[in-house]
This record gives sequence, C-alpha cells and structure tokens, in this order.
Amino acid sequence: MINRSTACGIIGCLAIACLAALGCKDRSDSNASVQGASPAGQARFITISDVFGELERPPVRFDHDKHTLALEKEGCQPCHRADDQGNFLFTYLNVEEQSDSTALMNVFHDECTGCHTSRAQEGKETGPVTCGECHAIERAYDEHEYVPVMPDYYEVLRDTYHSDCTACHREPSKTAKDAGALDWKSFYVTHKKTEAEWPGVTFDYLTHAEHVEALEDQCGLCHYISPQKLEELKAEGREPAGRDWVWDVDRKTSLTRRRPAHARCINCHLQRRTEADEGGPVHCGECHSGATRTIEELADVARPDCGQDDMMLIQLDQGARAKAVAFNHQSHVANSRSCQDCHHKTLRACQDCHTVDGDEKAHGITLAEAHHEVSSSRSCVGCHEAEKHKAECAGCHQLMPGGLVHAGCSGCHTGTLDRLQTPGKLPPPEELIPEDVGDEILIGRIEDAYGPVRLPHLHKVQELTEISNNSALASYFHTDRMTVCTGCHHLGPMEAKADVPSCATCHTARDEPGSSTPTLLGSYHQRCLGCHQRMDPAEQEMPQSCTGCHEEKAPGDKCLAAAQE
Amino acid sequence: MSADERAAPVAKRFFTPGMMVLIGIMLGGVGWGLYRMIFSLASVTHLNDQYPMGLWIGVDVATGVALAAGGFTTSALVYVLRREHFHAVVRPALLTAMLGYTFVGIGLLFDLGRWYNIWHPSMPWMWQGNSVLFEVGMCVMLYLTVLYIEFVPIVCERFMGRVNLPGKLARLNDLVDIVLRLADHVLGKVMFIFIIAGVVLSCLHQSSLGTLMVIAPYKLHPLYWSPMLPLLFLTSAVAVGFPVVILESMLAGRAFDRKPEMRVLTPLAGMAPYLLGIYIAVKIGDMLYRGSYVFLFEGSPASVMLWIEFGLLTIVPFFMFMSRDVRRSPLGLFIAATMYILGVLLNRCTVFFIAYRPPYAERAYVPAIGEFALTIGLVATIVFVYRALVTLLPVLPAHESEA
Amino acid sequence: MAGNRRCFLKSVAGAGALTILGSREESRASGGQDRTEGVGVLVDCTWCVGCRSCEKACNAANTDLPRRPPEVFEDESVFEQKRRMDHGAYTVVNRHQDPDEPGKSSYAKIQCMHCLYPACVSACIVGALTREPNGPVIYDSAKCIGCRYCMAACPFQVPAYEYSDTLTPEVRKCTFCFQTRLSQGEMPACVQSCPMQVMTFGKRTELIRLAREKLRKHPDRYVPHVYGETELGGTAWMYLSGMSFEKLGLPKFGYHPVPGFTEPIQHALFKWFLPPLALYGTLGGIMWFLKSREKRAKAESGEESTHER
Repeated sequence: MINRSTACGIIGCLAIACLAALGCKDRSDSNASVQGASPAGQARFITISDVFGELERPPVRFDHDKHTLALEKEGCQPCHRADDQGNFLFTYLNVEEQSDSTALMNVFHDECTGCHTSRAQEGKETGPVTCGECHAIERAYDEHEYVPVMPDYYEVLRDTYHSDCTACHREPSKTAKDAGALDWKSFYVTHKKTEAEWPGVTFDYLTHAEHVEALEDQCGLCHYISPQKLEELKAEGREPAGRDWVWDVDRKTSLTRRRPAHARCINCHLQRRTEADEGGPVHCGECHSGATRTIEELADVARPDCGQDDMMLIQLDQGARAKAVAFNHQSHVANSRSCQDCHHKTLRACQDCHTVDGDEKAHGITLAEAHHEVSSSRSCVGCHEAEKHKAECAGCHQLMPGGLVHAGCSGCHTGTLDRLQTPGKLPPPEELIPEDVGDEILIGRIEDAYGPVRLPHLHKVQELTEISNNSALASYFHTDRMTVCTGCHHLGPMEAKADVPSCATCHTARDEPGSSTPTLLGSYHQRCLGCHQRMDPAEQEMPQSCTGCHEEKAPGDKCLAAAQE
Repeated sequence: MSADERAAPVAKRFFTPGMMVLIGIMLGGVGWGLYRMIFSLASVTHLNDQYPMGLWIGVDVATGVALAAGGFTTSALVYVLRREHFHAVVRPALLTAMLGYTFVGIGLLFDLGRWYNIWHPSMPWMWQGNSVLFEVGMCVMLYLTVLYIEFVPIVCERFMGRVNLPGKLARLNDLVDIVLRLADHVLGKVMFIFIIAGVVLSCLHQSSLGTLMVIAPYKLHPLYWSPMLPLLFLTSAVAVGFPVVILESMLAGRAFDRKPEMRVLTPLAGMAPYLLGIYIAVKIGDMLYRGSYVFLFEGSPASVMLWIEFGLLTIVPFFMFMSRDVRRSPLGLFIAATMYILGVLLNRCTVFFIAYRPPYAERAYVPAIGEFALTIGLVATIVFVYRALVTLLPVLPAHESEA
Repeated sequence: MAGNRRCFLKSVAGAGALTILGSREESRASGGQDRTEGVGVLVDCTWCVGCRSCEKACNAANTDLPRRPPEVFEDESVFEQKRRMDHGAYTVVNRHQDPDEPGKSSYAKIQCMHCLYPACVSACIVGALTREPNGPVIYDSAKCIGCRYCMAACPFQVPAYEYSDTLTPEVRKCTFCFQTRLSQGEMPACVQSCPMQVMTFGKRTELIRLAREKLRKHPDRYVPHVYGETELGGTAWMYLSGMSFEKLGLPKFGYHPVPGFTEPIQHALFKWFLPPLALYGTLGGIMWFLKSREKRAKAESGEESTHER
C-alpha cells in the first residue's frame, strides 16, 4: 500500500512544510545599534538597524563580559584596534567603516567565527560557530501580542476616529485624505521583550574627588577646553576656572565619536594598570553597576571648585521677556550627586546649547523648555515637581494640580536676589489660627458606623510648618503666610485669624449622582487618608486604617447616637 | 434503477458480541448523563467561568454537525447534480445525517444549563436576530425537520402494504396504510423542495458554526481566528461529507460482511480532492493574507494543533485522495477518510477550546472523564440506532447473500 | 460531468462570495440610537485602598447572591491572589503589584463593563441579555437556556455561571443595580458605599469630561488614558489608573466593537433572505436544467423513464 502515490503524498506534505517554513520570516524589529556587553548576564543584541534593515535571522545576543573574562590575558587587542599612541578604539574592529550590510555581516562572520574556530583548534574554551548557535532566539509563547484589524463597520463611532490613528490609516480603498495607508499585517506581532538597559555609570562627587586625588588635580587629563574658549577667556582676562572645563569630545582628534567615555576612561585605566599597577575598572559591570549614593552620603564630599557664584541671576543678555530668576547655585550643588545632574554629561552652561529658538546642539530643546519641562529631571520645574513627590511634601501637594500652568511665573521670575539672600519663614500656627478653634478639632458631622475623628489640628499645622521652614526650597516658594493652611483648606484666599468655610459647604453629605465634587465622606478620606498614605507609606505614625482615626461603633450604638442628636 | 441496487433491511443477527460492547458503552454514557442531570454540570465537567465551551460543544455539537454533512452533500450530488451513479449511498448518508443531527440535539440537552428551555429559540418573542447561535439553532431545527421528512419515504417503503400494528391497534392498519401511501405519493412529488432546502440550510448553519467564534477575536489564537471562519467551516464540512460516507459505508460493510462498494466509493473519493483543495486553499490563503503564518513555529497549543489537524490530517489525505491507487484501495480509502475525519474533529475542538485563550485562565481546559464518557456513549448510541434502523428499514443496498 | 461538479462548486463559492461582499455595510444593531448618551461610572483606581466596602455593599444589595457575613469582606489575605467574579460575587477588588516598580501597588475593582456595544447581548440566542437604552446590560434568567455563548463572547470574560446548580443555573454578572436602584433614581450600591469616592456615577459624557480634567490637572498621578472611553466601542464603566492598565488586568483592546465582526456577516447573509433564496434558486435551476436534459436524452434514446428515486 505504501507505493509511489502515497510517497508522493508524503513528499507533497513535506514540500508544504518547507514552503511554510520559508514563508515564516522572522519579523523581529531591527532596533538599537551595536552596544557593549551585558549587565548581570543579560546579553545585548547586535542589530545594526540602518545597515542591516529588516533582519532575516534572529539578532545575535552578544555577551561582552564573557569575552573580556575569557580573553583576560590577551586584553583588548583581539577585538579592538589601537591607534599610534596605543589607545584603543572601542568599537569592534573596523565595523564603522563598512557601509553595506553584506560587508558588515562578513566582518562579523569572518572575525567572530574565525576566532572561535581558531581557538577551538588550539583547544581553548571557545564560542559557537554554527549559524543557529549565534542567531538563536527563545521563542516564548507569550511574546506575541496581536490586535485584529478589520474594515470599520460602525461609522457611528465618529468620535473615536480622532483619538485613534487606525481610523484614518487604513487599507488604500478607504483611506482618509492625506492619511497614509497602513498595512494591517503590521498590527500583528508588535510586542517583543525589551532589551536590558545599561544601568548608568555611577560618577558622582565622590568618584570625582577620588579621580582628582589620584590624578593630582590635572583637569586636562579628562576635561577639555576648546581653543575658542581659551581665546574668549584671554579676551576677558580671566584664567580658566573649573566651569570652563567641559566633558566633551574634540571632534578633530577624538578617537571615537560615540564613546568618549570608553575611549578615555578605559584606556587610561588600562595604562595605569600597566604603569602604576593600580588602575580603575575595565569590565563593563564594574562601572555600569547602577548603584547610586544618596545625597546624604555625599554631604561631606568636597565639591569640584567650579568658580561659579553661590547665588546668581539667570537671565538672557538680550531679548529677555521675563524678569531674571534668582538662583542659589551653592545649595543646588549641595543637594545633588554630581554636576551632571543638571549640566548633562557635557558639563556646559545651559545657554551654551539651549537657545531661545532651539538649536541642533541641544536637539531642538529651547531655553524655555530646558528650564520648564515638567517631565525632565534636569529642568528647574521638573526637579521641583519631583521634590514635591517626596513624602514630607506629597501630603499636600498630591491633591494640588501639578505642572507649571497653576504655579504662575512670578514665583521664580522675581528679578532680584533679595528673597534668596534673606529667606522668609512661615509664622508659628498660633499667629494664624482663630482663637475659638481649639488645639483638637472634633469632626463628627457624618458620624454613623464609626465615631467622630479627633483631629490634632494645632499639632498637624506645627509639624507642617516645621517641614516647610526646614526646607530651603519650600521656604523660598511658600511666600504666603497661610500656605500650610491652604494645604487642606484648599480654596483660597485665606486671612489670618479668620474663619474658613467648613468642608461641608461644598462637599455635601448626601450623594449627588453625576457631580464631580466628592461627597463629604469621600473628600475627608481623600484628603486625610490620602495625605497619610503619601507622607507615611510605611504606616508608622500616621493612621491609615479605619479604626486608626475613628473607633468603630457596635451596631446598637448607632441608634444611641442618633437618639442623642 | 436496477434490481440489485434496491435497498433492503439488513438480514443479520442484531445482538452480536460487538453490539453488546456497544450497549455497555451506551449504558456508561447514560450513567454519566444521568449523573450530570442529577448533580449538575460542575460534578461531571471541567467547564469553568474561563472555558464555557468544552468537549460537548466541540465534539457533540460542532463535529457532529460537520460530520453529518455527508447527508446534504450526497443529496446534492445525486438529486441536484443528477449523478444517479451514487444512488446507493444516499440513504445511508441520510440516515447518518439524521442520526447525527438528532444526537447533536440530545448532546446539547446535556450541555445546556437549562435544557428544559431548549424550545425557547423557536418562540418568536425570544428571537434574537443578531445572534449567530440563533441562526445556527433555527437552521439546525429546520434542517432536522427536513431530514425527517426526507426519511419518511424510507419508512413508507418498508411499511406500505405491510402495516401490522400489534393488538388493539390493528384496527388502524388500513388507515395507517392510507396515510403512508399518501405521504409517499405527495413527498415523491415535492421532495425536491426539501432536498434543495436541505442543501441551503446546511450551507447556512455549517458556516454559522464558524461564525460563532468570530465574536471572540481577542481570545481565539490568530492562527484560527479569521473573518473567514464561516467559509472555512463550510468548506471543511463539505469536504468531509464524502469521506464520512466512504468510512461509514466501509464500516457498515465490514459489520455486515459485505465487500466495500468500490465502484461507488472510488469516484466519490475522486471528488474529494477538489473539495479538500478548496478548503486548503482558503485556509492557506487566509493565513498568507492576514499574515498569521508568523505564529506557525511558536510552539503554542494552537500552532501544534494546526500542524496536526491541518498539516498532517488534512493535507496528507488531500494528496492521498489524489492518488488513483489510494482511491482504488479499500485500505487506502479507509486511512485517508479516517485521517481527514479526525482532522475535522480536531479542528472543531481546537477552535472551541484549544486555540481559545481566555484572558484570565490559570490552567488550560482538559475535558473530564465524564465528558469523554458521555460523548463516546452518544457516538455508541448513534452506531446502535444506526444498526437497528438498517436492520429494520430499507436503507443499505440489498445484498444477495442476505436475500 | 466535470461541468456539473464545477457548477456545484461555483454556486457554493458564489453564495460565499455574496455573503462576504455583502457584509461591507454598516449595521445599526439597535436602531441607530446614540449609545454615548447613557449613564456610566468612572473608577479612579489611584484612590482605592482595598477596603472591599463595594464588595460588601454589592453582596448586601443583591439578594440573589449567596449571603456572606460582613466579616468576610474584612479579610485582607484575599489580596494575595488575583480573584475573578464568580457566581457568588458580581464584583471583586484585586491588588496589583507593579512589576517595574517593586513596592508600588494599586487596587482595582472589576465588574461587568456594561459596554456600549455588548458582545453578550449580540451573542445571546434568546435575548436573555439586553442593553437598556440608558446603558446597563441586564439579564433575564427566565429566557436563558444556559448555552453560555455570552461567556465565550465577552472580551472581558465577565459573565460567571452557576455550574453547580442542577435545576436553575444562572449567568451571573453585575446588573448596575438597575432594577433595585437606578430605576429609583439612586446610584449603584458599590458607588454609594465607597468611603474613598473611587467611583463617580453620572452621565457618561460628563464622566469623560471629568476624567480628562483629572488627567490634565494631575499628570503625574495618572496614566494618560481613560480606559473604556473607546475600547471596543466604549464601555459605561471607565477607569483611571496610576499604572498601565495591563498591569491592572484590564486587557488592551482596539476600538472596534466585537459584535461588529459577526453582525455584518449575519446581516449580509439574511438581508431580506436574498442570499439563501438566491442559493435556493440557483440549485433549483441547476436541478431543473439537468433533469430536463436527462429527460430529453432519454426521450431521444427511446428508453422508458425509470421510476425516480
């Protein structure tokens, strides 16, 4: 029975299987360019996107640390070229010179597998040589996400079109004007596990101080002043101060455009290892450890002498439309981990790159954006917003609208250094609270299953006033005497010693279906419990359970309380 | 029609050892069915809130309907396309279909939570026209009626002129005889209406069974979900019609010591590649068009099932049916037909509960032993009733050795 | 002979093509009413503290649920596992840890989303699940046959079933307190009971406005998306969250309503019953044509016509 015809059937089956296999191209997105090695054993992908384009095979997972450890005796020579001075270019051989994908692929194939093969022949520990061992990928079942896309039948959903791109970008026959057609197959297989991110290098004031000591104050070994700058300084008649040195690349003599850090740091460390038998780290994970020291730990570390004024006015020399901003440089230095926290890696002054209209040096980010962008940790407003999230501030600030729009400009743009030089403090609560308000306030308006809350009002206000007065940042911006009061009594303006409207004025006790104002119960809880949650996440002092604030009544007591009213 | 193509009841002993085994399995199924009826679905099945549709829907309902497609495909072949050559297989196919659909209904009684409300969809005030299941239910109900109507002439043929009611009812013999003759006469004239209606209704509900799972695009694996599901179900059901007829003909022949009727089965098998080919083309075309082939090597249950039920159990029979040697060989036909029937069974099961991935399921659904037992019991019952009816009624072709 | 085969296949293919082509039209499943003009609830997960008062209130308000003593809802150990609604609970609260930020967790209450284009309503064979004009999706157990197709259809996997009930098993899901409270002008029990005002009940359009205002005022607090505004055509219950919604167990969906995949097919197939009638006619035509050709052939060859069948 197993005859020619059945054999044909089986061959046909196999043919279809092969066709299917060929058709199943790997749809991996080409992403990041060649990177170094892996933190904590996680490999990086080699998928040089602009040259390789869409990949035909899975990207190669390259583990740099494995190689540095295996080739410890040989050092960096096997893979990295050096220039005449013996400094290494930390790119892989001559990949930067290859302009087409085949040549690039050949470099990798010839060198990598060549080295692996020759080491195998020498009987040494070596890596893979077959295609699939390098171009391997774990096919996890749940790696794929898919969204089915169909021509739209429900044209009544007009509002969704404006919030959903796919409504316009559809198959050519139904494309809206000026919207491009989008291949609906590209909606399949969009999700892949993200690559491991390199943790940043910990280079804070302490590390800097260690380098300064080891290199005996020779800034020029790491930092750079351009000839132009030297000219400018000569014209000003000033010697180069700390802040003139930048961490930048001299484009004419740089060893590598992309990795000044690797070129300078690792080469120097290697040199000192051979010369002085004491060098810095060379393995990836030793620098890219991801560990950060806290500001408290760095409190006693000497700051680099940058020659900047302690307090200064930030202003535009020409064309300023707002008053200058008073800036306390000294306190910012004390409250940061490194100059790079604000000055980027380049250590330049803000206005060097960030112009009013945006410059390509600053990737188009304008001066205003650089100072005001809420989501950036380097901008003034962004950092201050982040500070407001700290436990001692978040209690009040979590319910206040965030961002610049509600703060107004005059808080910072004062035009004078006066308030910086003589900071104000909030007065003690006794000066603000009306006489007839006791130290402890009983909140029992909606007493029901639980008893009334005894709020230690005076104590709370004293605590909050102390927090504000202890913080230079808070003190600077809390200019209104009633600031702490407005944290809870949130609709101003308020006067000292005057009565405030009760919460129940706007927050009604009964439910109003459809109103956006929380009910009294909701607003008490959001305000009080919300504050406690933010200020004391560990629940050590501030009560966050029901009975922590009000005792639970036995079922019969409710009637009693009602009867007593 | 020549004399030796006339149908006649099978003259063989009914209670063979094989039948006793069958009865045993039936009783087992009945037992589990009763247990479900007394102690609820939870006690018998592994159905849960994440997997509402299980083996009983996948096999009893979906596969049952698919495999009963032999009825309408052979009817269409013989009565619409006038291929009288295949006359001998029409009645057995019709019986298979009738029993198949009847037991779809019976199986459904066990799966439904409120089985006593099964008549609800026929009441106009409870019609819900947007529901796919509504259309499936209505078409199946109507088609079952059509099948019974198509079956009446066989009963008439058996009992016309031979009505012999027992005891007191014997007075009604003549009346019954008149009714049978009238039915036979009338139906003879108008049967074509029902036959064509049967084909149309079949096409409608076979495809709508596929449309059922179109409503779950986020839960059905992309290898299986497609707006083309109705067409896929329809073409695969049409394609499995002849293999079912072939298999059932061979099994019946085996049971009754008859040689397989190769002069009918071989040309029947010759049409299978075309029908199978359409199904394969639609499936592969759909995968290419929607780009879902990227999941083929995923290793997920859905992708593995696709390789098995489509790659192995559909494409291989396709090539087998194309081979003249296979078509002429009883064993070849048997293997090819069985493979594709298994393929359809696995396909329905995959669509309903294997490639079905609910968002919060902690473990996959594996049918419970009671579910298997009831399903197998129902299949055994179908075989039992089939045997009983072919012994009683003129369904299978008359056989000289038995005459 | 080959021609007959081809004819058969062509007619089947033709009917199929007619179906698919005919399905390219809009469908107005409920008569074109504006479904966005209904009630809804906005759930702000950033305020939820996991007190389970909503679960307690739901259990107390719905008499068809098995009674549970209030102490059951004070048990915090339930948060160690992710729970789903089942036949005894219309709503549950789960705690979700943020896998990217250890220590950060959020609570989320889940229940029926009361979609604007409910899959369950479209799926129900007997119309036991219906959508009220103002939004709530409600269940009539008297009509139900227990087929559980609604459970297969629901993309949120909401409906639960009483598998252990032998005689009168029901599909169980949140009713939006429609019969007991909404029709009396009150808000649902869970919304009313929440001490942290996590939920706001009101007109859906108003809630969207409120949600957008919250997103604008507190961009650091929320993920900038109102879940349920457009998902699957929109749902009456919408969510705001501080973590991405997938982390809260709310799946990522497109804007296309799920019944929009099946209803056009069904409506095209039965548009004035034309496709089935066309198929019927085609097959009838083929049969008649072939039969008359047979008769002519037999008459010409002089044979007696044999008895058909």
